Amino acid sequence: MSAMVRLVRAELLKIRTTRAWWALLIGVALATAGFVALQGVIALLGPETTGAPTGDVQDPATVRAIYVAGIGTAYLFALALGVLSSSGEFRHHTITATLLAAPDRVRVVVAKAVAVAGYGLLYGAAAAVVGIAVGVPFVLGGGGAARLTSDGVPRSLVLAVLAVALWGLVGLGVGTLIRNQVVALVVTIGVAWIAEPLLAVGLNALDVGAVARFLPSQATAALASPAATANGLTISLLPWWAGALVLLGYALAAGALGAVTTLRRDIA
Amino acid sequence: MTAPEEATVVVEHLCKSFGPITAVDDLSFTVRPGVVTGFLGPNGAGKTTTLRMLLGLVRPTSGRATIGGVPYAALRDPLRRVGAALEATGFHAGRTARDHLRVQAAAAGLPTARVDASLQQVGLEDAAGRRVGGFSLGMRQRLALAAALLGDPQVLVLDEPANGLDPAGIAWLRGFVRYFAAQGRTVLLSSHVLSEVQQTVDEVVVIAHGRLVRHAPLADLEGPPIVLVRTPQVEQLAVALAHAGLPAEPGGDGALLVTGAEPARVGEVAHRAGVVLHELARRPGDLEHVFLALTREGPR
Repeated sequence: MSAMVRLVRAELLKIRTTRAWWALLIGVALATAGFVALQGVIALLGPETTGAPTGDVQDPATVRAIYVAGIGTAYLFALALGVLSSSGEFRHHTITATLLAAPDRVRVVVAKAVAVAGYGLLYGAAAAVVGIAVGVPFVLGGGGAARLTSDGVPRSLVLAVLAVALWGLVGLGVGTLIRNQVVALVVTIGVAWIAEPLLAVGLNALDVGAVARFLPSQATAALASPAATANGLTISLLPWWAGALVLLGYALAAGALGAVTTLRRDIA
Repeated sequence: MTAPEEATVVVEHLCKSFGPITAVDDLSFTVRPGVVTGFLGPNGAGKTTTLRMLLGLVRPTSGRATIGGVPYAALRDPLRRVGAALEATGFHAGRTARDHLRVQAAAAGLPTARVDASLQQVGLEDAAGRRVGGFSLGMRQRLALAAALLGDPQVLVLDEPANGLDPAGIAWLRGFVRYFAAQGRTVLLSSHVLSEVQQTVDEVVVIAHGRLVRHAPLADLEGPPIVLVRTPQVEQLAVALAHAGLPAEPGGDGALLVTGAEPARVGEVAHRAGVVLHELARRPGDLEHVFLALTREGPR
C-alpha cells in the first residue's frame, strides 16, 4: 500500500475516532432543516407578503433555492471541520505523533485535504438530503412540483455538495496557517459567516458586484444556486466551474501560505 | 534483523539557537546498540531539544543527527526503525488509547495486531477502550511507550519516561528497557534525575547548558569509595589519618568521611593511634553528588 494511501487512511481514522465530526454533522442537519424551512415559509407566503425577491413555488428557480437554502450554513460546519483537523493537531500536541509517523509535512497536509474533502462531501450530501426532505413538503404544499429530477435541481444539489466539500478545504488551509485553534475558528467562522457576506452586500451596493462575485460566499452561490439570486442580491454570479475554482483557490492560497510559514516551524 | 550499525544513533556538532538563546551547543555523541544510554542533564539543559532534532521535529541551526547514518526524516518507514516517546501529553483527550494507536498504525502501514500487542506489552490492555482524557500521567506514559513500540523498532528514544510512574512502574520500565537493549537494540533515555535511572543505564551522556559534559560508562562516573568512621576521639583520629596521608572531612555527629580509602586501612590507622571506633563502613560513591558537580561546573 502506498505511503499516501496509508496517510489518508490515518487521517480519516483521526476524524472518525473523535466526537467532533458527528457533532458537526448534527449541526449540518439541524441548520439545513431550519434554513430550508424558513425559505419554504417565505416562498409560500409569497413576495407580496414578505417583500422578499423570491418567486412562488411554481417557479423552478424558487424550488431550487428552497432545496439549497441550507448550504450557506452547512458549509460553515465543513469549514470548522477543516480548521479542527489541522489546528487540532497543535492544540492536542498530536502533531508530534503525526510527524513521527510521517516526517514529510506537506504529505500530511495533502492526506488531510483528501480526508477533509471526503467528510465535506458527506456533510454536503447530508445537507442535500435534509434539504430535499424538508423542502419537498413546502413545494408540494404550495402546489408546486418537486422537480427532483428536472429543471436543474439535480445539478444544483450536486454542485452544492461540491461547494460544501471545498469549504472544508478552505478551513484546512486556514487551520494550517493559524496554529491556534480558537483564533483559527473565530477568524474563519467570523469572516465566512458575518464579515464576508456583509462585504458582499457592501460591494454590491457600491455597484462593484463584479468584484463581489469573487468572494467565497458568492462563489458558493455560483455553484449551489446558479441563475438564482444569492442572499437576495442580484449579483452576476460566476459560472459554476469558476466558482469552484475560486473556492479551491482560497483553500490553496491559505494552504500554500501555511506550507511556507507554519509548516516549517519547529515542533517543540 | 537490522545490522547493528543501522541502529546506531550519531549526533554530530549539533547546534540549536532560539533567537539569542543557545539551547544546544556543538553537541556530539554516539549511542550504540546493545546498551542503555542515559541522556542526563538538569532541566533546560537541552535534552528535549536534542531529541527533537534527532527525530526531525526541530530543525538544527547546524550539525546533524542520524540513525544508521540517515536523518530521521529520510528514513523509510520510520516507525519500524525508531520508536519514540517524547511527551505524555501528545494525545487527543477524546480519543481512546486503542484508537490513538490505530491512527499511528494506519499511518505506518502496520497491522492492527501490533496495536493490541503494544497495549499488552505496556500493560494497558484493560484501558484500551477508554478515552485518554481520563488517564493518569503514569497511564499516559505507558501509552506513549506503546506508541513507540508499535513498529517493533530497533531504536528506542524516550524523553523522561519515568515521569509520573509509580515505583512499581519505574521498576517495570527498568526491566523493560534492559530487556530491549539485551536484544541488541539501542535505547536512549533522558532524565534530569540520575538516581532515577542509575540502575537502568549502562552509559551516560551528561549535558549542561546544551554542551557535552561527560560521556562515559556509568561505573566511571561513580567517584572513589568513601569510608565512614565514627569515634568519640574525632580530633585524634583526624590527625592520625592526616599523618597516614588519608584526607578526612567531618561527617557530623562524631563521624569522619575518608575518601579513596579501604575500611581496613582506616581501621589499621585508628588502631595504631589507639582510637576507639564505634562504626566503620564503606559507602558507595555518591552518584547524585557527582552528577550535580558535573552539571554545575559545566563542560570541562
